[in-house]
Amino acid sequence: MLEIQALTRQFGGLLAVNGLDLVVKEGEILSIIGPNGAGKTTLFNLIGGQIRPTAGRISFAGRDISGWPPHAVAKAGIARTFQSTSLFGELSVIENLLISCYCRTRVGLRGALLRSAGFKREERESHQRVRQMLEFVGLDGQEQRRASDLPTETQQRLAMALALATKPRLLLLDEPTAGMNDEEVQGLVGLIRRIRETGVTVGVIEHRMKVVMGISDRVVVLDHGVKIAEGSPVEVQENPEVIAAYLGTEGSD
Amino acid sequence: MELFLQQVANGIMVGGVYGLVALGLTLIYGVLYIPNFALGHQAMIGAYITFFLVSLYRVNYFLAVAIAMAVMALLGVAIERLIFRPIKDAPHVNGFIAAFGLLFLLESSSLIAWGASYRKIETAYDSQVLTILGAHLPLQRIMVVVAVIVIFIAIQLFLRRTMAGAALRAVSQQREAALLVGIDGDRVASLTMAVGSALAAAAGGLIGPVILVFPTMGSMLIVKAFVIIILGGMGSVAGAIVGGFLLGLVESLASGFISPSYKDLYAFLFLVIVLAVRPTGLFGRAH
Amino acid sequence: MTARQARWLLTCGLLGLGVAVPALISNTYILHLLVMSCIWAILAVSMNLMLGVTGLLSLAHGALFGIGGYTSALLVVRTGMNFWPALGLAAVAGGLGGLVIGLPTLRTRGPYFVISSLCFGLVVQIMMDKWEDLTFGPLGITSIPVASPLPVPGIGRITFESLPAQYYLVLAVLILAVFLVRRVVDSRVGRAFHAIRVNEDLAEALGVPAMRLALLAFVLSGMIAGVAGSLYAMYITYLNPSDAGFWVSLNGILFVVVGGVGTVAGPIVGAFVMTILPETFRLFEEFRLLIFGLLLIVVIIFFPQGIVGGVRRFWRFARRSPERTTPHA
Repeated sequence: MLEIQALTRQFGGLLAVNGLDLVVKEGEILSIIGPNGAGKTTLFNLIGGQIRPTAGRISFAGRDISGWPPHAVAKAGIARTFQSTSLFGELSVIENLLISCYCRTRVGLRGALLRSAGFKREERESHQRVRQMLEFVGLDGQEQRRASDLPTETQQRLAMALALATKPRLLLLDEPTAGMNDEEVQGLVGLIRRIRETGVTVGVIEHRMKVVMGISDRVVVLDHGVKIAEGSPVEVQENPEVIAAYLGTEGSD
Repeated sequence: MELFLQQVANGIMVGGVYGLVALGLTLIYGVLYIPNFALGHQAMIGAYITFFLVSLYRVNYFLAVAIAMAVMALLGVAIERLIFRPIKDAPHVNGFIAAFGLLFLLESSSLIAWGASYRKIETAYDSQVLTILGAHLPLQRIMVVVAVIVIFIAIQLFLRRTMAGAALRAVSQQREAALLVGIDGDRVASLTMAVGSALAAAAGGLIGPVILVFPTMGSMLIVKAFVIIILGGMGSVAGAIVGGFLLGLVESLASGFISPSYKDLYAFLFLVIVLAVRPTGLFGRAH
Repeated sequence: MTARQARWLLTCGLLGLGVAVPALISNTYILHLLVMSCIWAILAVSMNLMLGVTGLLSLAHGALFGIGGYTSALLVVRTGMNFWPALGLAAVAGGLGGLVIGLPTLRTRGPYFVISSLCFGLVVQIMMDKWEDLTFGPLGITSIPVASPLPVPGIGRITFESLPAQYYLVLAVLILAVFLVRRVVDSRVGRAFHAIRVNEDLAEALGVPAMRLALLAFVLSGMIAGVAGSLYAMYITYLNPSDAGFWVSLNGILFVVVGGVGTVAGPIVGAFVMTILPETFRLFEEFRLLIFGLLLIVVIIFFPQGIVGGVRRFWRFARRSPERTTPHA
């Protein structure tokens, strides 16, 4: 589904991502791990269009999306969350979600000005979809709350809901469990599994080994912008190069 | 040929002054994240202070400029404390609006206090003219260029050789890290406003004898300073200085050889054309 | 009574008052102030669409106002065109101006955008001043005729020679502008505008094409500003290049900020208050500027949500309702 070939991104003298080849298979949960600075978030930024590759190719569902701007990538069916949770802070939860319905709706200026039947229908459908999304991630009841007032874990779920509302085929999560306690992590893991059950492919950057071991179909290990290992969670965990890359420090559990 | 040299000399002088304002602007923006649209008007106040010191108290011109710089530095600190600091966590747009409010305030204050008439700063160097390669260069203007260069060197020394300067650079380049290390952001903000305001006062005082002193003289200065920053990249000290000289030269040569009546237009057109072609400016990164 | 009902009541009351004014007040000076307030309110509505909704501080709107004014005035004066199509063309010209200025400037954000928009605005103003063959230069356009009579089926013709008629005209346009902008903001497109203001990067990542939408906002607000300019030219009957200038933009910002940025009523309240209030003090020009400056600073530090925001806060406080106040975690 997602194919990355010889992807390279250079910042001045630093090769953040260096000739990376990667394939994401449809329907899988793929974890991307690696020590700090390995290039994981840069990889997501390249796929998501936040930055452009210096070299290499990214194809999604057969189309070359290298260098596409973020809104085009989202429209093509890839959604993502960000390492430091990104929301429309001053807006309410429901306003946040309504915005994320944008790319799957069509009615434009004319419909809005004339309040056409199509406009009214689409507004109803969007509100419905938002309600479904709220239920799915477990945020129902919180519609009117200001996004920036929510606790961390709830914010993370909202961020995922925003991404999901764009009806992606591939969802990229950047450190979704950051700042959560064990109970919250369990809840989030359950949510990720439910997302996969709806047919969405998931790519996750994670540091917690327990999470990685628990949910991944496959794991890819990056270090210094290069893929150093790839395989099932167990295979990767026992890989001596991976252990060496982490220099004896295991990921936080 | 004489015209060319004349215009080049003029351009360097004017450009140096533009560069002072641009430098103040870029330093302030780097630390406070507020584009101080009122800096041109602060330059105007500096020009008035210089004027009054020279004409009422017979102070030596360059000493007067120095005093104006010191006074404006203090005023800058007051501005930071009273206006910019309370809104430092608000949306960026609020900073823009506060700066415009300050602009109105400064312009109206000087109109009320000193009237709209143009004031002439008479200095001891007014009458002397050097002739170099056929071009008549008033000593006044040459000394302005010297003063500008001295100030630029002083700023560079300040930024690179003093602790305060290092703190300033730290905050503007890596804000979070600097604050984490224990640098007091508010104090650096005050310091930066002081330095930036002093630079503006110098610009006003130095250009005053040439273009005369009047309440709206700051408007063109600040717009040109912004043009320089946009083209040279916000945050670049070298960009501000080099850009200043460059803009001054372009403006001067175009005025001399194309038409003087569109003098101000050249800067804007230059900006408009560059932005149309390269939206990130000549050197800047995408915002 | 809920907040919504209160707002409805207030709106209807004000509309009724607005319509009844010429019958109640015959003082031409006050009517004149109201007409000017309406015209500035239309400009403020356009600038609020950029600043309050899309989050972009444009200083080019004075130029767009001027482009609209010059377009309709020149068409009427030079070609004898009927006012109404000229008004339409003024809107088109304003929109086109927004497009031409928006395309390069909207590739930037923050202070870069402010200054680029300012520079483009200044270029337009200078062009109005220098292109004498077209615009009559610094002398400006004089003797701009009032709006041509409007045929109304069944009633006959409405003429706009009288002050009350002109008042009704600008009031009607203001109401229409607010109505249309409201419809745009309360829609998918409007939500996207808000998204750009609050978190543009996230909006892009969610599929919102920020550049395209920002451009749309610029064009729409340019059209409205152009209409305001056209009405201004028609009413004042005289137009010169300073009417396309920087000060018009700054005044617009003032109206929006003081009234309440981002709100529906804010730009209108701001325009009326800032047009009428200084007149009641009959201040000299310099003091007016001083007060404007102080006001901007005080408002932005202590009352960043302007008059309307302050009223809302007071309303909520007075009723102490739990709805919409967010609990702290």
